[in-house]
Amino acid sequence: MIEFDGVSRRFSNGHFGLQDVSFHIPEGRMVFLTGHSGSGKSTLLRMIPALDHPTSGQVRIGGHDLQKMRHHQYPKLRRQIGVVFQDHHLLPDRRVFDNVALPLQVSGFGGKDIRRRVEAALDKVGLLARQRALIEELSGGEQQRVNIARALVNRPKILLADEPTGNLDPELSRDIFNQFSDFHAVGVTVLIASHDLHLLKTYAVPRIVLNQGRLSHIEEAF
Amino acid sequence: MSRASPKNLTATKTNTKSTRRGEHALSAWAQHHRRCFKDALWRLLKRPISAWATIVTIAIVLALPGFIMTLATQIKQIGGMWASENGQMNIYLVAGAQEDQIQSFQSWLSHQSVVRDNRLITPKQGLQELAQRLHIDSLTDIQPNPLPTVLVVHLSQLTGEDVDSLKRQIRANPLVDNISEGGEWIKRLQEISQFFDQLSWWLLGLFGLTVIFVIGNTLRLELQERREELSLMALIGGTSRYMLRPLLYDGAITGLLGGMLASVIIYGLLTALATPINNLATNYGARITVITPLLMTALLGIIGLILGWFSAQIIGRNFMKKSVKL
Repeated sequence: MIEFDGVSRRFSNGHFGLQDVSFHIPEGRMVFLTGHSGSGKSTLLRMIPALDHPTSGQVRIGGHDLQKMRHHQYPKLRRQIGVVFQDHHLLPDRRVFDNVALPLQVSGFGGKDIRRRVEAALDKVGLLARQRALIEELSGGEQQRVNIARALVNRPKILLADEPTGNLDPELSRDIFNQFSDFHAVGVTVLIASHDLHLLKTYAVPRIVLNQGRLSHIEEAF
Repeated sequence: MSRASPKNLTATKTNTKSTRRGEHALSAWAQHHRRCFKDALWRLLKRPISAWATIVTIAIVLALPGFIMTLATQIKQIGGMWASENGQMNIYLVAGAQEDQIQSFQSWLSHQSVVRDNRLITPKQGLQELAQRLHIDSLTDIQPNPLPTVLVVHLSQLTGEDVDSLKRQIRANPLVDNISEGGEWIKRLQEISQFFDQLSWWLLGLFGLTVIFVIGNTLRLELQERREELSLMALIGGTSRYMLRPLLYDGAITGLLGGMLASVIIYGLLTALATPINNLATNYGARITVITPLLMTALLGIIGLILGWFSAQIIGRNFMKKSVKL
């Protein structure tokens, strides 16, 4: 499902964000992407929805080579990928419902479908009762759950999470991780970038380890 | 917090396939347009000072060429009116012209194809008319009367070979001392109106560019504020067309209101100037008619709308190319 083949990313200042990284994550697997800060986790994650592009090597998503894709094809690719950020990226002036509905509106769903799907997604993350609340009225943990609901409401094939438990206490972190597990269980390919040692130690999940932009090693065979 | 079981999720996923997306695609598109329209109006209300500053600027910029264009139309109308109704030529006869000679000349004139009618003004009648116009009764007592006998000829056309030939023949007549050609004057008036017409189009082009920049600058500030939202939209699969839509509504509505306000300004100016202009025009047998406000409002509104939409296209596409990862 996600395939990196000799991928390097060199920035304009000459620094390498990634250097000759190769791996393959089959469909329906859940994998941790780990490494110290600046190891290239975010750069790698950004390449999957084509927000960044390698300077050499190939990235293939669902068998499609991203370098050969045209610009107008990117939106279609991105609708199949859910992304959860550490800093939420929620629209503060809109309500919970509107934030979660955004990917569906962008994909051209009608009003009834949007309502049904958003309510289902909010129910799954336990925020159905708070759908009318403004984002600023929510706690950090609740905001992260809105973030997850928004990432999953479009039923993506791939779920990417960049430090999803970074600001949360261990109990909430576990809760969030359990949600990812649920979606992995129904066939969604999940890639979680994290350096949360507690999380990494608690769950026996294969992990890709990066070090200074290079693939250090892969723990457990997928 | 309720947690869905994997089984439930699978079931939901199957339902997705049965969703009649095709049927709803059009309604979703219409819904987005409705939402963009409402949001654009809401943004206008939310920031009335900055929004109306832009609208008033657009109105003033569009009002100038609009005003000149309206004046040019009026001048053209007056010229046309004179040409059709008052296109006249005054023939001044030599002193001592005999009555029978004048009558035979009048009869010859009335048989010319381009002459609609002719009227004789004797020196006595001329003096009376002058005294009446100047409100000086004693003028009629002037002896000897210095005014010549005049034949006022109304032409059915102002230019052309027939008219030129008629003028040549009149000049060649020994009874004629001089002629004054109203047609030449009207021709000059029409040339002036053409100049103003062309000037107004050039100004409209030039000021249209200004409108594009004014609206563009306002939208650029708005885009800066919405940069994160646009980046998020791009990330979740928003197409550039989808992301541009709210901006196009903002630009079009701002331009539309600017154009409509411009028509109000022009109408106000014309109404204020109508009395003195009409007084002047009445002396020449014409009358100013102010263009229908509804038509002018619609015309300027559409021009403003198109310019606003165009500006939003340019600024929006440029901004997204540079600032949003599409």
